[in-house]
Parts: sequence; C-alpha cells; structure tokens
Amino acid sequence: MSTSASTFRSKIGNAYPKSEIEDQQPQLKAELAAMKKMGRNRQCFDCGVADVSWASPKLGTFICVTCSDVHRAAGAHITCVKNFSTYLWSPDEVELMRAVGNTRAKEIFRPGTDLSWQPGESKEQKVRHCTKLYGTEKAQLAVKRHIEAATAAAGPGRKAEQVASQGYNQSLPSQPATPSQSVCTPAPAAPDLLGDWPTTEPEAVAPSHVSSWPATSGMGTSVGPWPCPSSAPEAITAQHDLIDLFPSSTMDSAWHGDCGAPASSQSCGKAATVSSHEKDFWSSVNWDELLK
Amino acid sequence: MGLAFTKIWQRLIGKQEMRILMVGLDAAGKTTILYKLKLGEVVTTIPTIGFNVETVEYKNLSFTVWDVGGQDKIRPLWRHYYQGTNGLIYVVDSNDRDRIEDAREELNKMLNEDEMRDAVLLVFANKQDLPNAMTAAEVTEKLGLHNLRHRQWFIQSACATTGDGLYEGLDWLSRTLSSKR
Repeated sequence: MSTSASTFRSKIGNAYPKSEIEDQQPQLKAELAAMKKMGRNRQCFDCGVADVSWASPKLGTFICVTCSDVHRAAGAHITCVKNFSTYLWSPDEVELMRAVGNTRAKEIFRPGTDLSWQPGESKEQKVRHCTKLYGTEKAQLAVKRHIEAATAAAGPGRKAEQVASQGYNQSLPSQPATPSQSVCTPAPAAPDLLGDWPTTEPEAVAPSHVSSWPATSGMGTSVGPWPCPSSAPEAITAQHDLIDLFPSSTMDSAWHGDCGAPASSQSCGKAATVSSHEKDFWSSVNWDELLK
Repeated sequence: MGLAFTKIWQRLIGKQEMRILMVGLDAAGKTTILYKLKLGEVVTTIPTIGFNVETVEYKNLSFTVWDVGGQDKIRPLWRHYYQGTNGLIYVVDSNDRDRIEDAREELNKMLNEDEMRDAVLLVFANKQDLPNAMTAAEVTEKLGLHNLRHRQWFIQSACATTGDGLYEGLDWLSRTLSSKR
C-alpha cells in the first residue's frame, strides 16, 4: 500500500501529504493530550460528563463519545468529529483546538448557559439542540473565522484543491517569515487567543507514552504507522480488540518516538508588520529625486 | 457434512448466502443503515471502532453484512475483509461536499484490488434529508462511477434514519447477485 503519495485532507479543508501527517502524529497527539487536561477541556463541552475522548475540530470543542454521535447526526455542514486514537490529526486542526477549546467555545456559542443539553435527553432532542446551537448563521460565521485563523497560524498547508498541483515543503515551518527573519527575534508564539496554553512544549508527554507501549517485534515492517494485523477479520473478535490496537496516541509516540520536530509552526505577526513598514519605506523613497 | 446439508437446504428453500462488505468514510451512516435493515429501527450508535456484522434476510437471499469503521486509521483494515465479498455497499454522506473527493479515492483504491474484482457495487447516497445534500447524479459524477469498467454498479439515494431507499438498494443487490449465480 502506498501512503506516501496520497493526500490527507483535514476536516477543516486543508490538504497535506499524508506521510508527513503520519510523521507528525506523536507531536500533535501530545499537544492534544496536554490540552485535554486543561480547565474546561476536561469535561464534555456539550453535556458535562467527564469524558473527552472526542472533539469537534470544526467547533474547537472537546466532547464525549455520546455527544460525538449527536454531532455526526447534525450533519457535516454544521460540525464534524474525531477522536484521539483512531484518527489522524493535522496541524491546522490542532491549532483550532488550541485557539478555541471549551472555555472560549462557551463564550462563543452559548454564553450564560452551562450545558448544550442534558446527558439524559434523547438523541433526537440533542440533535435538535445541536442544530439550533451551532447551525445558526452567527455560529457558523465564528466557525469560519476560526478555521481561517487556524489555517493561517498552522503554517504551511494548502487548500485541498491546490495541493495536488503545487509543491509543498513542511520542513520549513517558518517559511512565510523568511524574507524578514532578521527582524523577527524572538519569534512570538502563535497567537494565544485563550491564554490557557502553556508556553513550554509538553515534551514530557511523549516519552512516557513511549515507555508504556510494549515493544512489539515486527511492527517496523508493517505498511503504516498503525500496527496493521495481517489476520482475517474473524480474528478480530470484538470492538475493544481493535481499540487495543490503537491505544490513544501511545502507538504513534512509540512509532515515531525519535521524531521531535515541532508540528505547530509559530506564526510571526511582528515580522509581517515590520516587513510592511519596510515596504512602505522603500516605496516612499523618491527614486527619481535620488537618481538625479 | 453438516455444511453440505445446509447448502442443499438453502438451495431448496432458495436462501443463498451472500457476503456483503459495507464501507465508506466515517460518519457516512453505515451502522445506522445496518441496524435499520436488521431491526427496522434507528438505533443510537457510537462511532464504530472495529466492525459490526449482521445477517439480513431479504427475498431469496441471506446477506451477511460486514460494517467496518471508516475512521482514518481503520480504513487500512478494510482490505482484510475483501476476500470472498460478493457485493460492496459503499455509503456516502451526500451532505459532506468537502470530503467527496476522499470518498472517491478510497472507493477507487478498493475497486482496484484483485480480491474485489468480482464484487458488484451498490452506492448509497445517504443523508438525503440534510439540507443541500448532493443528488445521486451529483454523487455519481463526483465518484466517477461512469468511468468504471467491468463493474456492475448501482447508486441509490437514501436516508438511513427514515429507511428511504435502503430496500430499493437491496432489491438491486439481490437481483444482480442472484443472476450472477
């Protein structure tokens, strides 16, 4: 199976080479794991239960498995969901989760209300609430703004339709700032809209995952970053067997344990400002006068 | 020996067993379709991590339907279910325009596999109840179904929660698979 040539499309509309997204999983999953431990992110945004195994990368909220089904039913035009184990995450989605999160989402989507719906309500009722809450023009406008900001802040990445034709170089995370890098010191951290994201990288998370993953022989020859069983379906007897194949983020950490490249690039707002000043300066010079 | 009798009995009463693989991107509605067919009702599902399998009796056929999860890391496991598949049900979320290209790629990848050479293809253009859903014609075009060669295929617009279109799809499957035998 060739995964190297294929494209990965994030759920917020950006495309990346799949192999690079696979390589970045340990870092991205570690970032997400750290976010899940902070403040309101520890409880389902919608119903408040203490399970945040899923998220809406479109709305930027951490939610529980039951509410993930509600979001799926509401429709992809409003929201979409991913968990932290059986999905690949991309830098733009992680950036959006970081920029929004449950605390800010409350201010955006339902200020003054603690829950989106009660855990005990029927699925139909919850879906109605979900559509009403997130499907409004105002809510979707906020979603659109966040997606644009996250796309810009996540650094290199292309709109899905562009990636096939254009070159792409993920190894240059600060590429946009290159022309005026000399005046961009120190590079400011990516815009911290929430203020609850630690400035230090959560590096401690990755090593502990690495050690917790059993050293399974022969995995290196498998076809992807997931341990892909060559067994017949019959050998997989129950859903939880499969879950065991994908322990949340641990597998990736082990798999790319030595891949320490920071995934979320830092945006360089200052550089952009300075470079525009420079541009103004040079354009304000009266060349005709000087060359006389 | 028991198996031989079972086969003869099935011939007599006309119940042929068909192995059906039902796949598609995550949140397309595969599990909802499976249980709507099996139980006739909409069950509360959780995203499928792994698979569900049910036998659905319809007309003279007994479909063993394997519903395999469509999440990123589960998709590579689809290939373990290919062997012996008579029919492929490919479920598409007609409301998800952003990912229809993904759906096309995954479908083509699968149809190019040698083990899937003889499988007939039924596409459910699901979630027709949602606003702005793509029509079956649109999904046909976006999946590139007209370019398929040496493949019997059929597309059916559907809404799993109401059951609309599901039996029309199964009708085609049973007719096509019966005539192949």
